[in-house]
Amino acid sequence: MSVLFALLVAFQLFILAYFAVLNLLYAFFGYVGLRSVVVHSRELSDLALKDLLEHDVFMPVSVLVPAYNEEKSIEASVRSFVTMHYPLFEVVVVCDGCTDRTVERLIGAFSLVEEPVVYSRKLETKPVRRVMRSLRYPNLVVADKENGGKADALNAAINLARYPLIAPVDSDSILDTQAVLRASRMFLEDDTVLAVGGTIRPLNGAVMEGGRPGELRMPPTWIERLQIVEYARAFFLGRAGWTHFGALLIISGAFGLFRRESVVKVGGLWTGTLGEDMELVMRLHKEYTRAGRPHKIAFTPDPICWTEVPSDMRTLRRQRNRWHRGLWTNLWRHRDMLLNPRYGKLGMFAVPYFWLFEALGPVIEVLGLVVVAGSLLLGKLDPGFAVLFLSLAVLQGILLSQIGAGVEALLLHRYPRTPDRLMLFAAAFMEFVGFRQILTLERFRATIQAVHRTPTTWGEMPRAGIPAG
Amino acid sequence: MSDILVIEDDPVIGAILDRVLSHAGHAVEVVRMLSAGREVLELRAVDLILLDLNLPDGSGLEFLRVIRQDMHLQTPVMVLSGMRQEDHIVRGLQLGADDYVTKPFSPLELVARVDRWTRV
Amino acid sequence: MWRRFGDEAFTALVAVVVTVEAGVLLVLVLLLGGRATGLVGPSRVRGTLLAAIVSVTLGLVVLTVYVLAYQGISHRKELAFERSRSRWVGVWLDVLYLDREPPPPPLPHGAVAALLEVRETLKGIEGARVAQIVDRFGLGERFARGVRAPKISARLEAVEALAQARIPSALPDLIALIADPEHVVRVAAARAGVRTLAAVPPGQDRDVGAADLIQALEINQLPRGVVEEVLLLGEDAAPQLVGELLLRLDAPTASLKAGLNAAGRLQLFTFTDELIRFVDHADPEIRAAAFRAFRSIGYLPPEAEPAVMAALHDPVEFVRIHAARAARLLHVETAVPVLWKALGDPSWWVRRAAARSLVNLGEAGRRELAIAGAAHPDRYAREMASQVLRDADALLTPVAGVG
Repeated sequence: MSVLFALLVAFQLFILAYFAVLNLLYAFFGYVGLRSVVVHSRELSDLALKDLLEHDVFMPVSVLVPAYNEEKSIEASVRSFVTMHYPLFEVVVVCDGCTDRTVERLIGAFSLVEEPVVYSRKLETKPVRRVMRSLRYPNLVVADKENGGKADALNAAINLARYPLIAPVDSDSILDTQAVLRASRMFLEDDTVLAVGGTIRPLNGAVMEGGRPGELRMPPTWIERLQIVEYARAFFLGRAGWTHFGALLIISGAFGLFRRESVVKVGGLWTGTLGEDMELVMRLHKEYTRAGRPHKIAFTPDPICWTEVPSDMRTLRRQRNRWHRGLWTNLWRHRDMLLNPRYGKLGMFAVPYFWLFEALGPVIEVLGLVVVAGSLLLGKLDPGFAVLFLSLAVLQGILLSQIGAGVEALLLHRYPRTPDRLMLFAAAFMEFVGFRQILTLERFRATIQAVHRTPTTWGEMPRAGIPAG
Repeated sequence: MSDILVIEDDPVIGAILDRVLSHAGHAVEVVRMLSAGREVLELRAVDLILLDLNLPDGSGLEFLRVIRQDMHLQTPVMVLSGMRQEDHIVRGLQLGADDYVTKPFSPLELVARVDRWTRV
Repeated sequence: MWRRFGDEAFTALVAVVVTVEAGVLLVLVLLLGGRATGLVGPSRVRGTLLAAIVSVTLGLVVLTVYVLAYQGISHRKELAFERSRSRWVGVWLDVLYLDREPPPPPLPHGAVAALLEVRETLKGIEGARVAQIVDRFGLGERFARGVRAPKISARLEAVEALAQARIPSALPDLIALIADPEHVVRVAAARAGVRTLAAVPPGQDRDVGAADLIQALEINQLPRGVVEEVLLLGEDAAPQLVGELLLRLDAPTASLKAGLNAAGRLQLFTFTDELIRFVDHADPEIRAAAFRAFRSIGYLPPEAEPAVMAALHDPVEFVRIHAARAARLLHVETAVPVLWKALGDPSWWVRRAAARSLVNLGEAGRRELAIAGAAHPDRYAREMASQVLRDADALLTPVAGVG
């Protein structure tokens, strides 16, 4: 019995130490991320950007848009891509076996005509039924193919793309007019850059002007508000921190810029995961490291992509479940990178971190909760102590969120109204008291499902529809 | 005395154009976004449009196409662009622009060109 | 995109808060370990826990207050600056157009910003007058001092102001700054340097300046993209700059690539004879860049024609691609047979370039392409030929790939 007790105590202390170390890491990363953002903010002046735009210093880009049943919003989305601020680019939309009227909407809105197009088929994909070009926007290409999933659709788009840089986006991403310009700069300045990721910000609540977000305001639900806080933290602190150490493992599928040649060289996106964006980055790192070729994959906070985030719990949980299963699939596929010195900082720090703190995090948290609750019931744990520790965890989380909010306040395009800022603060609080636990449970569930390999679908998100104004 | 619409988002350039052209005797309205420009054009006929190609809410060239092909306006259009954007200038002219001004510009030259397009 | 004030203060504040938090957490972890081994009593741990909570709460309060205060202050400050700058733009324009007297120094921040913006926008007679005003207020000296400041942000601000002001006397300072230890400052100085160079009237000063600038770029090994950007910003000093890069016998490869690309982008017709030297360079990227430049410029000197035809058989794919693109500049009778063969190239991109070049050769080329679509021995060549012909016909507006 005393053995059990000792084990219980040891496990309790392990949990506590786990969270203390985790928060230590978060805080450290938060600071590093913040610093790199601030330093970076000085690197690119507006004058420099103006020069970029006006003096034709750029690399042409193919924007790749995979779409599945988006009839409500597809017209507005594609229109926002086609009217982007960039000297030379094309937009390649691939409808992945849409069963609604997505394709019809596109044909009508953009005067598409079918063409028997000959293109280079470097990547294997499900058959493409037809390829259409727009009469009004010659740089718009739309393909209709058999359903094969997002990764498959992107690979088909890569086959159709003709420019050296590709920008895979989500069909509902709204790119800041200068996002591609800012992201593409890094490729110009450094030949070893393979991929660049930008910042994703929730669109919800913003006042739309001409199809793009104008003044930023708080969205109506707390679920949406807490995601604003969450994204600011994840990008300005998390990704900025990782890229500072040269160990960035993820570039968001909502917006990223890649060298087409590199992506084709490593075989395109993998259709076997729900997290095809992260898996591609990991594979790029892996293949280039194995080949002994210097390479760089970076995050810069400047290019901004807006996306609509879930406003109801069910959709949010499904999304997080999907992300977590994708994470597990990717980590498992590349488990040979774990603690492998051959992969340098990635193998020795980034990958282990993701295993221990991201993937296994929910498991440890849930177990911890069970152990703590059990210990309390058995009277083996001082309730005061438990409350203190919980409070500390919550406060640390909110602290980190506030650092993220501070960085957001440095942006020229920020939430201007003070009441909104206070609401963000409240959202940071609420995130750690309630929502986080629900999402942790969902991720725990995802872990179980990943272990049992439950079949997965891309899933649809009920959309309010982006106004086509 | 002509009615000129300037679509330019940079406030300084807008102010300069306003002053230079007003000084030369024209009536000038400056708007900062394409959507605002469209509103003006739907409400009244102007004698000349000065259109910046690098606007925040969309492409100036696309707007030019809209003016010419969708709205069927024959109003003379001068496009404003940076020094080395010959491609854009050429495309602008192909899409129906009548003249172009590169930045930085000489006010005297600008006024002379504007006068040419607004002469009745 | 980002505000540039208050960020360093925020970072410092966060550093303090995070350090304190980290310190307390570290102690906590150690104590927990001690607790596990029974060395430490529960009250110690509890005490540290309380200390952690207090420190984090304090940090949270401090940061939140800062963020809220910053929001309010920055908003007001920016509104005030905007208003000041707009007002001053009006003042400067009055000086120019209504012959008003310029106000006495010192100039507030908004006034300087407005003046620089006006300088940026105008050339010609008014432009020269604005330059005189800039000179009169000694802004050149002020920025030259700023360029030597110890803080990076101060140096950057001064450099950017000089980029807008384009004061010829500041050129040596800017060139010297290309050797700055900070990469950010080096790149900004390079760009400001070339903008300033473009404002120097043609003559010996400009020649010397161009040579010095190029030398500084090479010695300090600025990335190729930056060098190219600098060339593209050169306005009418660009030919000199490109010449500096291309006409030296010992120029490094990176410089050559930048120079060739710029020559093409800027369509520097006068360099076409110099470009011939590069068509059989050992480095395939240089060969390709030379062909690319010819195509952009739109002229191929007769002496270069054999090289283009030979390059269609180059072992390196991208050289063949660019040669195929340049082939549209060959005489029609020469071009058509070599492009016909290139339609059968194993590389998809070469086939495509060859087909498009044929289209661009006019009637004769199109005819040949149509024949190829039906009768070329290579199946892929037939497909490509037909496809490209269809594309060419389908373009109703001549605006391909416009942003």
